[in-house]
Order: sequence, then C-alpha cells, then structure tokens
Amino acid sequence: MKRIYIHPIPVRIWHWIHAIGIVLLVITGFQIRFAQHIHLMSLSTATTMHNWIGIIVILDFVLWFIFYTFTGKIRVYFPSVEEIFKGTIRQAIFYGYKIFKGAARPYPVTAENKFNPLQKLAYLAIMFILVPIQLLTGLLLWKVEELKNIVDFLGGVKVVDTVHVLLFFFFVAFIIAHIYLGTLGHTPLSDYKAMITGWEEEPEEHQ
Amino acid sequence: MKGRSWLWACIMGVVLLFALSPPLRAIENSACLDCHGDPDMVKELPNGKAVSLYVNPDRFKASVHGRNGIGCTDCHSDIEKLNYEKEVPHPVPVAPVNCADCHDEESAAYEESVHAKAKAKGIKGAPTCATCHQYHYTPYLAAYTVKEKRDLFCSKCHDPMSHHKWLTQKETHFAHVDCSLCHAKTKGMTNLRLYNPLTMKFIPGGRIIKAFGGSYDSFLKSLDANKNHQLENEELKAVSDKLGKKGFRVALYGEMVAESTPEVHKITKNAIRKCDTCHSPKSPYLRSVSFVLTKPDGEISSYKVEKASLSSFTTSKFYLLSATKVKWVDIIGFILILAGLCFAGGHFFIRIVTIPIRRKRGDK
Ligand code: HEC
Ligand code: HEC
Ligand code: HEC
Ligand code: HEC
Ligand code: HEC
Ligand code: HEC
Ligand code: HEC
Repeated sequence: MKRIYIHPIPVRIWHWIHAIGIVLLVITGFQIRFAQHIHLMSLSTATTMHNWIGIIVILDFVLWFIFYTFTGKIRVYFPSVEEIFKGTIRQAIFYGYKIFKGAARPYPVTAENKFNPLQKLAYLAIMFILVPIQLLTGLLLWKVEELKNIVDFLGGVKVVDTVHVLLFFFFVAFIIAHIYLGTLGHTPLSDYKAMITGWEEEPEEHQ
Repeated sequence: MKGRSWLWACIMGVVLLFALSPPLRAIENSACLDCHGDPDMVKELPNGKAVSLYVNPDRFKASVHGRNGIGCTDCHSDIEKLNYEKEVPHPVPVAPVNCADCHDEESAAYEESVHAKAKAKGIKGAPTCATCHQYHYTPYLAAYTVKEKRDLFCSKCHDPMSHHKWLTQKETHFAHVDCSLCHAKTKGMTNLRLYNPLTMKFIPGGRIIKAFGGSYDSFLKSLDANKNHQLENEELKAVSDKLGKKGFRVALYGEMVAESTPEVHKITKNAIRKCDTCHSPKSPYLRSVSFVLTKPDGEISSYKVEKASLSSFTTSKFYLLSATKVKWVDIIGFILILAGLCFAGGHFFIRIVTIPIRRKRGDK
C-alpha cells in the first residue's frame, strides 16, 4: 500500500466549506422553492440564511480559484485530447462494467493528476461554467432591484430564477452521485479519508 | 288647477337644477390669479424669510381639482368677496383649508393613522393632507408606479431601508410593493404594466393608442380575442407580438399595489409582516390581476388578466417567489433528482450483487 498526498490543506478547507455551504443552500433552497409543502423553517429564515450562505460560498469559490490558479494546480481540471475522447470512454466502461469484476482503475491517482478523465470533464463543466452561473444568478436574485440592468438584459427575474432553479436541481442530483461515487475508491471510505487527511491510499501494484 | 301644478313642477325643476349643479362661484379663479398668478408675488415673514404666494395657473388647471372645476374659493372658502379698497382684498390670515369638506372618508381614515396621532402629539413634520398631496397641483395618482408613489410620498420623510430588518430583498420589495399595502392593510391587487426592458422605462399608454388608433377601451377589448372579459396567457403573449409589429419592445412589469380607497390613509405601525400573505398562490393580492394602460392625464385604463398568466414566461418581469412558479421547471427538477437517485441506487445494487464475482477473483 502506498500513501500519496493529494489534497493540501487549502483544498480541504475549501472543499468542506463548500460542502457544508451547498448542503445548507440545498435545504434552504427547497424551503424557499416549496414553501407551501415544506415546513422546516420560515420563509424569512430560509431566505436570510440562503442569502448569507450564498455569499460565503461565493467567497469560498474565490478562494478555490485563487489557490488553484496561483499554485498552477488548476491544470488538474483540464483533460488532454486523448483523455477527452478515449479516456472518458475507458473510464465509463470501468464504472459501468469492469469495476464489478474488480478490475484495476484505468487512471490511478497520482499527486499531480488526481482526477480521472470523467471527473476532469465533470468538474471542468461544474467549476468553470455551472457553479459560476449559479453564483451569478444567485447574486442577481439577491439584488434584483439593484442589479436590474443585468436582470432585464437577461430577460427578467423569472428567466434568471429559472436558470438558478434548474441548476439547483442539477446540483442536487450531482451531489447524490458525488457522494455515492466517493465510495468507489480503493475502499468505500478511502476517498472520504483522503478528503479529511489529505492522504490517499493506493494499491502498490498499479504504479 | 292643471296650470298651477305645471308651474310648480317648473319651479321645483329649476330649484333642483340649482341644487344639483355646482354652486355658482362668487369669485372667478382669474380674479385671484390677477395677483397670485404673478411669479414674483411673495410675502415677507417677521423673521425676514420670503414665502411665495404664487400659484401657477396652468399647473393648477391641470390638477385634479382644476380639471374637476374646483376653484380657489371652494377650498379657500372663508374668502367670500374681494374688497379692492383694501391693500389686501381679503382677510389675512386666510383660514386653513379643510380638505374634509369634500373628502370626509379620507379624513376619517387619516385621523386613525400614526400620522394624525403624531400631529396631535405636536410632533413637527407629521404630514397632513396638504403636505402629501401638493395641494394646488394634486395629480391623479392612479398612473403612478409603486416607486413613484414611494418617492413622492413616504420616502420624503422615511428611509425604509433603515427599518424592516426582518425583510429580505428590501430594495426589491420597496420597488414592487406599495408602502400602504403593508402599512394600511388595504385590499390589494397585482398590476401588469408595459415596460421596455432595453431602456428600462415604462411605456405610456398614450403612445400605444397613438400607434394603434381608437380608444383605450377599444384597444383593450381588441386584445381579448375570445371575448370572455379577461386576458388569458395566450392573449397576453399576443400583446407583445402585436406591439412588436409597431416597433414596441415590451415586457410586462408586475407590481403589488394598494387599492385606491380612502383606507390607504390609515397608516399603522402594525403592518403586514408574514411572507406568505404575498408569497403564496393563495395570496389575496393575486385575486385581482390587471393589465394597465396609463393615460396622459394620470388616470388608467385596465383589463382583467387571468391569474395563471403570472405563472408563465409571458410575465417574465414578475416572479413572486413560491407563488407564481412555472410548473415544468419543477417537473424537470424531479426528473433530474430521480435520475441521480437511480444512478447511485442502481450502481450500488449491482455492486452488492457482484460481490461474489470479485471475491472469486481476489482469491485467485
Ligand atoms: C389684489 C391682489 C390680491 C387678490 C385679487 C387676491 N389676493 Fe390673496 N393675497 C394678496 C396679498 C397681498 C397677500 C399677502 C398678505 C400678507 O401680507 O399676509 C395675499 C395672501 C393670500 C393667501 C395667504 C394668506 C396667508 O395666511 O398667508 C391666500 C391663501 C390667498 N391670498 C388667497 C387668495 C384667493 C383664494 C384669492 C381669490 C379669491 C385671492 N387671494 C385674491 C393679494 C391678493
Ligand atoms: C384643493 C384645495 C385648494 C384649492 C382649489 C386652492 N388652494 Fe390655495 N391653498 C390650499 C392649501 C391647503 C394651502 C396651504 C395653506 C393651508 O393649509 O391652508 C393653500 C395656500 C394658498 C396660498 C398661500 C401660499 C401657498 O402656496 O401656500 C395662496 C396664495 C393660495 N393658496 C392661493 C390659491 C389660489 C389663487 C387658488 C386658485 C387658483 C387656490 N389657492 C386654490 C388649498 C387650495
Ligand atoms: C402620508 C401621506 C398622505 C397623507 C397625509 C394624505 N394622503 Fe391622500 N393619498 C396618499 C397616498 C399614498 C394615496 C394613494 C395613492 C394610490 O395608491 O393610488 C392617497 C390617495 C388619496 C386620494 C385618492 C384615493 C381615494 O381616496 O379615492 C384622495 C382623495 C386623498 N388621498 C385625499 C387625502 C386627504 C383629504 C388627506 C387628508 C385627510 C390625505 N389624502 C392625506 C398619501 C397621503
Ligand atoms: C370643494 C371640494 C374639494 C376640496 C375642499 C378638496 N377637494 Fe380634493 N377633490 C375634489 C374633487 C371633486 C376631486 C375629483 C374626484 C374624482 O375625480 O373622483 C378631488 C380629488 C382629489 C384627489 C384624488 C386624486 C386621485 O388620484 O383620484 C386628491 C388626492 C385630493 N382631491 C386631495 C385633496 C386635498 C389634499 C385637499 C385639501 C388640501 C382637497 N383635495 C380638497 C374636491 C375637493
Ligand atoms: C411629511 C413627512 C412624512 C411623510 C410624507 C410620511 N411620514 Fe410617516 N411619519 C412621519 C412622522 C413625523 C411620523 C411620527 C414619528 C414619530 O412618532 O416619532 C411618522 C410615523 C410613521 C410611522 C410610524 C413609525 C413610528 O416610529 O411610530 C409609519 C409606519 C409611517 N410613518 C409610515 C409612512 C408611510 C407608509 C408613508 C407614505 C404613505 C409616510 N409615513 C409618509 C412623517 C412622514
Ligand atoms: C412587506 C410589508 C411592508 C412594506 C412593503 C413596507 N413596510 Fe414598513 N414596516 C412593515 C412592518 C411589519 C413594520 C413593523 C416592524 C418593523 O419595525 O420593522 C414596518 C415598520 C416601518 C416603519 C417603522 C415603524 C416603527 O415602529 O419604528 C416605518 C417608518 C416604515 N415601516 C415605513 C415604510 C415605508 C416608507 C415603506 C415603503 C417604502 C414601507 N414601510 C414598506 C411592513 C412593511
Ligand atoms: C406585501 C407582499 C409581500 C410580502 C409580505 C413579502 N413579499 Fe417578498 N416580494 C413581493 C413582491 C411583489 C416581490 C417582487 C417580485 C418581482 O421582483 O417581480 C417580492 C420579492 C421577493 C424576493 C426576491 C426574489 C423574487 O422573488 O423576486 C424575495 C427573496 C422575497 N420577496 C422574500 C420575501 C420574504 C422572506 C418575505 C417575508 C419576510 C417577503 N418576501 C414578504 C411581495 C411580498
């Protein structure tokens, strides 16, 4: 067994603030969207919390961006051409079939390259497109009146809200998949441990 | 006998005519304006400050009162005649105008307000009828937007942002909800106005009528294709197409407004605070929804709109959180979440079922 340090402290802090933030945003988000059917807290509490946590997540996102850009680690998010085409297929076949046979992972984790091609594509879309859109539309819904130039330009509050809500549902679905995929590491808990300690355990044989 | 009853009827008729018609004005406005129509007319106060005694004749004529034939002495009713032998041809000081002579319901409501109470306590700056309504130049208020009313009335003395700590999205609320809807607890309704999203200005109804011809009523009726006295979503959607053909770029801008009744004056501290009074499909303010055209004179012409139109993209400038949702958005949402659950659950299930296979391999 080999131990690799793949998540430095800033990454872990970012990840867990983000995780707690998103879960709270999802809970308050459900309360806001379905106020008639869900009664966890008042609409007022839910919106106030949602607004503040949203700001924390925006700051957290900035932390992520600065850390990854200035350390150059941001490269881990960009798949190579080979990875985009062949790699994603290989990885999909692994997840969908080979993993059940106990085959070795096609893209084992290394310190420089912690994501497999599917993860790269998914996280690239999420961190560089979907999360920024979500944060931006959230900001617009927070200040509908103050930022009405932009809101009107985008087609009005209902359009902005629809984008925000559709992405919200997408993120809920993604979180379910994300939490589950986290159990597909070397052992069901090894990826979780790595996200806490920073160290990932990898079976020696594949290196 | 017959002749006399005819005569009586005649006399009664004349008397009735006099009783019903406005009282003959003893003094014409022009007589007052001979002096008060002079822009330089000022009165010097004992403390040396000058107060203008000028009344702009054109603006007065354009005011609600001017247009309804209310003259100077209908309000300044203590001036019964002008005596030109004196330097000032009427008594000075002139008695304060009592708006309640004609607006008794508004006065009664006002008397129950925080403002009347503050005034009774002698608090300086408590508003009276005249402070709020630009007494000589009172405009029609119907055409005013929520924001215009806010800036014309309440915001002159209050900064709403420094109150309402419990309210989120304050600027948005104060731009879309009448202060008096919450503070006077009047009946309320939702108005849809024509708005140009590019210039971010409201489009006056007058421009629409000019482009299409006809009257306000005939134009509004022409929008109601199925003649059921209300505009459904399809008909409302057709409005922007119809206007688009004449070069108008329009969006429908929603506001929650207080019904214009004397009750708006009963301003209280004990205002509406529960979010779901408005943010619910059952909100009483969504019971009446109207499409509104403003008129140049400050009045409006409106047409009933089916409430369901608020839950569509036709009214893209209005989204009342959790009350006017577009349904298919939630349906797509549940499909997405279901897909996530099926993926994780399905994969997990196969993982469990295939444990023996992996065990066998591991043994090798
Ligand atoms: C001949 C000129 C003249 C005419 C005509 C005239 N006024 Fe005046 N009015 C004055 C003067 C001068 C004053 C200032 C008195 C003072 O010094 O306090 C005044 C003052 C007033 C005031 C303010 C009084 C106060 O308490 O400060 C009112 C109100 C008023 N006039 C109403 C009228 C009305 C209504 C009419 C017509 C029915 C009218 N006036 C006709 C000359 C005139
Ligand atoms: C809707 C009622 C109303 C009408 C109509 C009206 N006034 Fe006044 N006027 C007032 C009120 C209210 C004041 C403020 C003082 C008070 O509260 O009595 C006032 C004050 C005045 C003053 C004192 C200066 C000022 O502007 O405060 C003058 C002069 C005056 N009016 C002249 C006129 C003349 C001339 C006309 C007709 C062209 C006229 N008013 C019509 C209600 C009216
Ligand atoms: C605090 C400011 C304020 C004061 C004081 C005030 N009003 Fe108003 N008034 C308003 C507002 C705001 C409206 C509502 C406009 C709307 O929403 O259409 C209004 C509407 C009106 C209307 C038209 C609606 C209706 O009742 O049919 C009349 C008439 C009126 N006021 C008369 C008066 C009279 C008379 C007084 C004094 C007793 C008075 N107002 C005092 C602010 C005020
Ligand atoms: C002599 C009677 C009379 C007096 C006094 C009077 N008004 Fe009026 N007022 C009217 C009439 C008539 C109308 C028009 C009503 C209508 O259009 O339904 C009117 C309408 C109004 C409106 C309605 C605007 C709207 O949007 O419908 C306001 C506000 C108003 N008056 C304020 C005042 C104030 C403030 C005073 C006192 C300074 C006052 N009035 C004194 C007769 C009067
Ligand atoms: C001309 C100035 C003025 C205007 C215009 C005005 N107010 Fe006021 N308002 C006051 C004053 C003065 C008080 C009394 C404050 C106090 O009691 O210390 C007051 C009190 C209040 C209060 C109670 C607050 C408290 O501290 O007791 C409320 C609520 C309120 N106003 C709402 C409104 C609304 C809504 C409008 C618009 C329709 C409005 N006001 C227009 C001056 C104004
Ligand atoms: C959504 C409903 C709502 C709207 C819209 C609203 N208010 Fe209020 N307002 C309240 C409630 C509830 C309170 C009492 C609780 C508090 O002090 O925050 C209040 C309090 C106030 C107070 C202070 C009263 C006090 O006790 O000190 C003022 C002044 C006031 N509002 C003015 C305004 C003005 C001006 C507007 C329009 C720009 C406005 N409000 C719009 C609900 C509302
Ligand atoms: C008197 C009616 C009313 C009350 C009470 C009210 N709101 Fe609103 N709210 C509105 C209106 C109208 C809008 C503006 C809709 C628009 O922008 O098109 C709005 C907008 C919002 C928005 C901005 C996003 C959006 O939907 O446009 C939020 C968030 C919000 N309200 C939350 C709340 C909360 C939380 C409460 C209770 C503390 C509350 N509201 C109480 C009427 C109300």
